[in-house]
Amino acid sequence: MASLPPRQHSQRRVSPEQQEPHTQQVSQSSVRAHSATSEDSQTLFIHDPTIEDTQPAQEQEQQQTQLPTGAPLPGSREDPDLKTCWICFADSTEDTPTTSPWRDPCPCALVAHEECLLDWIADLELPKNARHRAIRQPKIECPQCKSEIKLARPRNYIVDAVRALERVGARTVTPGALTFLSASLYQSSLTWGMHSIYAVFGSDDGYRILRPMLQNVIRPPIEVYLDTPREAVDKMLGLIVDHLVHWRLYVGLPLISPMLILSRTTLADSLLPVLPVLFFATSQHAVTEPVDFTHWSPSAGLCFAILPYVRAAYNSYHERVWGAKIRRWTKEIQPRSGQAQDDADDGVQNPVADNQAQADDDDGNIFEVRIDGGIWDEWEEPPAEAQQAPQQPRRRQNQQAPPLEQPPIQDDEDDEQADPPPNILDHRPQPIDPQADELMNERPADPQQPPPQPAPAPAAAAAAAAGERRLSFSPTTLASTILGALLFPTIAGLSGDILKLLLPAAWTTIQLARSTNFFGRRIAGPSAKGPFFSERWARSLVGGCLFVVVKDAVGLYVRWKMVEMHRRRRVLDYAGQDGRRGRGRV
Amino acid sequence: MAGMSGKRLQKELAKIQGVLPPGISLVSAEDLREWQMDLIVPDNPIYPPDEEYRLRFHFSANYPIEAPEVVFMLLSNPERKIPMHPHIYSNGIICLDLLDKQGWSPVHNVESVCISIQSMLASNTKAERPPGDAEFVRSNRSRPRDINFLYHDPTV
Repeated sequence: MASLPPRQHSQRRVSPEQQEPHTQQVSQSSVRAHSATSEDSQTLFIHDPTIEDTQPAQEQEQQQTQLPTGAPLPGSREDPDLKTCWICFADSTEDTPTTSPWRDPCPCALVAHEECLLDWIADLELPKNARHRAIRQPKIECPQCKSEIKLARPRNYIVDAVRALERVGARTVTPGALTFLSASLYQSSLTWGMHSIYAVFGSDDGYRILRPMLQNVIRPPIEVYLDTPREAVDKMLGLIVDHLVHWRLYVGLPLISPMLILSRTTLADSLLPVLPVLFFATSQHAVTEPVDFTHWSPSAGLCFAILPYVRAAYNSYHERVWGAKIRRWTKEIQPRSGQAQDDADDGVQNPVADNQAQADDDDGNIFEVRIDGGIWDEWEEPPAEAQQAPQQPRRRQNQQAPPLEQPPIQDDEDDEQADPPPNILDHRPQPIDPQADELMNERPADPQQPPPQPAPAPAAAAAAAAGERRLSFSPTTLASTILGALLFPTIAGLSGDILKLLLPAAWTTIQLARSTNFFGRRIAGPSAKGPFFSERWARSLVGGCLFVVVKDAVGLYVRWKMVEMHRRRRVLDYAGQDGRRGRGRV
Repeated sequence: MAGMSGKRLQKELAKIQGVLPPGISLVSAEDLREWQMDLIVPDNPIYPPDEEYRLRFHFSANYPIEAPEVVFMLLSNPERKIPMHPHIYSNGIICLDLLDKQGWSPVHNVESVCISIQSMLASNTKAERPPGDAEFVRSNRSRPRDINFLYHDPTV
């Protein structure tokens, strides 16, 4: 009956507390984990949560007449008008002048002291972590009837405004930080791209390329508020257009650094060959002149565009011809660790994992990347890696991974290699891969290993079989890869300069004498392009490629030589003065 | 309101010394802050009727606004084991939403918690420990209320 007021203090109410000892109902009822007694026993007396709020008054009236015939109330000795606070369990008989007033905030029978309620609400509103402080808390619901408990909070507009601002501020922190970081990255890539251009093209050509961008950088900012709206809009549009016209500079230059780094791995191998096509498609020349492949002294754009293909071709050549030998040699030299880091090559080869340092998921310094793909032309890491994985479940918590440098530097690394002694024992029976696989499969049976560890080991076995490769980086490897990649243009430029010194002068200078026209003046027009190597960028390009080739060749020679030297090692007997030995023996 | 916990606990104690549901009995409550109850699980073959389990309730000063800490105790004299249940770890910590900050409300009390735990055990069909039990027991240092359990298994 809607006319009935929702609050019915005067009527008989059975507090939830008095129904709890209804044991016979409890044992038979299907119990829900969160509240065993209250819900079930109270369906007789208090309104069902599924019924709407207007009904409970009516129900309570009806049901309360049934009360005497219902289950016996052990607490019926108390006064029916007694209120019991469901939070502190004190009744109204214990009211002193200092107790806070009673409140009945929801349609169900629960009443409580105001102070108790406020305490409880304050605890509910307390966020679990400080991060959520600014977010509005969920509605306070009565634990029994789930209806909202409304509070009258005094409103202070200043407090509200400040809290709203706080909320907005909290939301913008993360995007702001991300923007700042990406802007910094962009700027540093841009600057590095500029440096690369200068290194490869030389100062004149480089300046010519970069001039629009440099002009834009120096241009003073527009003070919009000083002009009329129309002038301001015009100025801003002008600024935007000026920037957009040279979008290739703004987009391409920062991409130089990531491209360099990626070209040292095989991560972008599928992307790089596409770039020249993109270049040709968007180039302005494509419209006005056909791109001429047959004309000698190819343009700079063409040369650089072809570079990814050249690189891919060289990579596959190197792998096919030398790959197996390198693997064999390395294994021979380092039987214990199983992998050497291939730091010797830059520009075209892939960084190899550092084995000892990796595969430990707990280790904060090491992270693993699982890469699918057959273009991985490194030797098999997973068997030995996974062997090491179970060996170092907890050991390398905060240890810096010692990078296994090329074999010549191994002496320095010996102490670090000896660092976890049990490791070395297990590496010994290792050289052949099928054996390694078997060993690895045995390893999960090791009872010491925590449960997650055997999972990577057989997974790695399967991975090795499937051709998947795990690439693990240590910070040092990563840093050296990145540095090598970024320095490549500089190195290429320097190689170009060396090339200039080495090549005959006829190849590298423009001979202007041939281009006098009818009037005897010298023409230095576009048709008077000199030989290929007179351009600085051409020399840098070829110099860089030659550098890579020479480095690879030297690396191969060194490795081969080291294998040979390795075979001829001998251990010397002790030839000392202390009478124990040495007599007749050296 | 630190005084609130004392008063309420006294009332609860008084009531508990009256009639209790079957299978639940009060063992000790000398220190008002720490109670021990014995629990028997009816009608479940996993928990034989002669096996009793000891629950330890620890109340903070903010009870009942803050949930009590309820754990099973492992005793040798008298013999009390930790029951096998997919939500009870072998160190006695119970993964129950009722005992967590989100699931608790002052409308519950010691008796209702005991009954909930009793029903949780009675309706159990798998006599096993939770996954990752050994790891948890070995490495856990925080109090049960500080552990963020993920309540994702509604079937148990």
